[in-house]
Amino acid sequence: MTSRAPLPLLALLGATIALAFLTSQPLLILAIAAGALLLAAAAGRRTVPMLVAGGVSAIGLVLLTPILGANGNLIVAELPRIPLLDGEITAEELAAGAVLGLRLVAVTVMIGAVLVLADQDRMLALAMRLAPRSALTCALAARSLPTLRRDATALTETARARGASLSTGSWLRRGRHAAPLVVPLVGSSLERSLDVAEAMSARGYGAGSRSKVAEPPLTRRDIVILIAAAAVLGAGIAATLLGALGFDFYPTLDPVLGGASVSIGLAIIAALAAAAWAARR
Amino acid sequence: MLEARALAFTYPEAPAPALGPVDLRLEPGSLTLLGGSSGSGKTTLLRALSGAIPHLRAGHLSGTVELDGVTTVALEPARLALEVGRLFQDPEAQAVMATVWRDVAFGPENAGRSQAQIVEDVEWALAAVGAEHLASRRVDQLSSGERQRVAIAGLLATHPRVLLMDEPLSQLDPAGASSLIARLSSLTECGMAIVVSEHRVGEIAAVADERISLDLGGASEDRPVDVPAPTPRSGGAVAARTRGIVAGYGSASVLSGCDLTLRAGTVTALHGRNGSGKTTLLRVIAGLHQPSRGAVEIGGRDVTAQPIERRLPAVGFLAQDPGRHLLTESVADEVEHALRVRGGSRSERRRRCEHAITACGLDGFERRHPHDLSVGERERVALAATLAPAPDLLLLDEPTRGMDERHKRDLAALLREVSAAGAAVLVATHDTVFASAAADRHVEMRDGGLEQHAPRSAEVAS
Repeated sequence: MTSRAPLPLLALLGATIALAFLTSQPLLILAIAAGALLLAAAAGRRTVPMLVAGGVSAIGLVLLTPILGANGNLIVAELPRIPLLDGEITAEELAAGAVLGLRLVAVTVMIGAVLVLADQDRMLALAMRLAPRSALTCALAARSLPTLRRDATALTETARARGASLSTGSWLRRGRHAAPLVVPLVGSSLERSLDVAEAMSARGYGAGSRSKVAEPPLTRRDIVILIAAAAVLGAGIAATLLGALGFDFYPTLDPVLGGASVSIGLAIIAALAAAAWAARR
Repeated sequence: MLEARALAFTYPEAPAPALGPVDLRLEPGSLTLLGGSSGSGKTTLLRALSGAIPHLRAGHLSGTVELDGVTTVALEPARLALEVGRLFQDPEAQAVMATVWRDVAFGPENAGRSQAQIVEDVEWALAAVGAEHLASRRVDQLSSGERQRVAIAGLLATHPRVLLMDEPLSQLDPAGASSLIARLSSLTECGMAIVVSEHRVGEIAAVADERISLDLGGASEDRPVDVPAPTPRSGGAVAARTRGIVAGYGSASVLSGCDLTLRAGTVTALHGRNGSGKTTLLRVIAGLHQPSRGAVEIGGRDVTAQPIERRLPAVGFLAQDPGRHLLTESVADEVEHALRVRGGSRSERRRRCEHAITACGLDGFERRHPHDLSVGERERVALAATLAPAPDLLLLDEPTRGMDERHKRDLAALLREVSAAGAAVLVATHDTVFASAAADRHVEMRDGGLEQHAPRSAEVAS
């Protein structure tokens, strides 16, 4: 299981996110979301939490947009009147909410996939060139998360082995038994943070000016990802030049299918699919 | 080279000094074995020798530690670390980077070495501990034995003149331990001074140049004592049985058809190399890991589908490294915790709690906070908490980590006592001396299955 060089992946992430925020064309956002899912599939199960987080937030956006907005001509439902909220749900508001949600899913999944696929140590080395101490602090905090999760699991299992109902019974009962575990978990994380400080010192951190290991050259797969990033950037430029970036939801929906947007959408999917193939583990 | 004079240390608010006074002198190329009972100050001494005390740990320090005649108080701890490497008791705490190669390179980078030198240092250090094949692996995916090797490689990469090691064998199987000892011995030939604090002293004592005990009065608690193997008991009724257990993690299969019968009144020792599946088997029997195939019976009932909560109070389970995961604010509360959850009269709870505390040698510790105890003492607290409800089936995963020889002997006797009272005990351990003193039967995990195992005489001697 080899992690990929971070620079090409970060370039791909930057190009894709920029395009996702510059366009409101549903077809292009759908293409970006599909490509992000391909990358997530290449990254494996560790992207599932980001997918869930993005999905849940997206559902919130889809539900809130029609209630908070008062736009669109085609009314599809009317809710009881509530002060400050719009009870008229229009097809245009639903479409706008769906596109916002899809964009959020695409961006979240893309970030999750890149974080999983990129070599963390090389990413840290890259960040340390800009802000050495902050980067190291962030990296250590991120690295402590799996340890914290393992400690939480071990504490839960200890409590279960002593008879606390944490996997059976009502949620209320489980919550009551789980709440006291917060105190030992905090104690354990404080102890771990002391360990980390001691480990850093015991490994000579702060002894003077640091040197860095030489970064390995980009592999063929890294170069494929870099080309994919360039392709996404090119697709964005083409969309701008051909006027395919914009899309009006109100007062009525623009036609979704246009010659340029279909071709550019397919190009984006192809680029991200190639990147996913090159980044696969 | 490194010398301690009248070194003593008291942690803040501690009722008594944790260390000393100690005099110690390390010469180049020497291997010193540091012994002493749990809580005698071994870890504190290693911290003081490495400069972590007083630079990183508060408390009252008296006496001096000097490296080449310069007191360590005057030296930057990070600079000192490049000369005096210290291996932590928990190797997981020592990793800084995500992949093995980068983690080992972290020290040489801090020392400001050139890129070519870093590559050379890392490759030499990995080879010195036989971990070249781990170079591209992620640190969080290593087994405990592999982590131990990588942590040592991380220290060696800076070419320290002194290497201080806190229980380096505690997580290694016998083969891994022998291999590490041979490598340490060869490092001393390069002029490195090594101090090893260890309870598994058998093999390492044979190659040590000097042996120091921190116990008051100088009496070593860690001297292995020949304990005759007990007469095996055949036991009574079947307390637990596994049939054809298949289990693993994701697509990785660990157990592939484990059949085991545990009888009341017996102690069974479960042997096997690091990563062979001992812990998984214990977790399956306890109800913390669902097997993909096979059945678990406890007390004649099929409990395969039941979680651990439903297997209580018949089952008592002590996980690996339990000292890190204590739940309450005092030793007495911790031991009484399981009894309180299950209910029962206060007097009965108190009686059982006191009995468990005494049985685990924790008298006088009742009001202490678990975080103020040594690793070995914490392990005994967790053991007492597991024993207090008097389970019919006791499952222990590496219970002797951090324990001195006396407490290991006491634990072996205690397990025989518990089993004589009718319990079935299954204990996974690398400690063959402890296993032969405690167990009626020995089984070994191999290729995902179980085989009858007779401890070899050489292992018993170690």
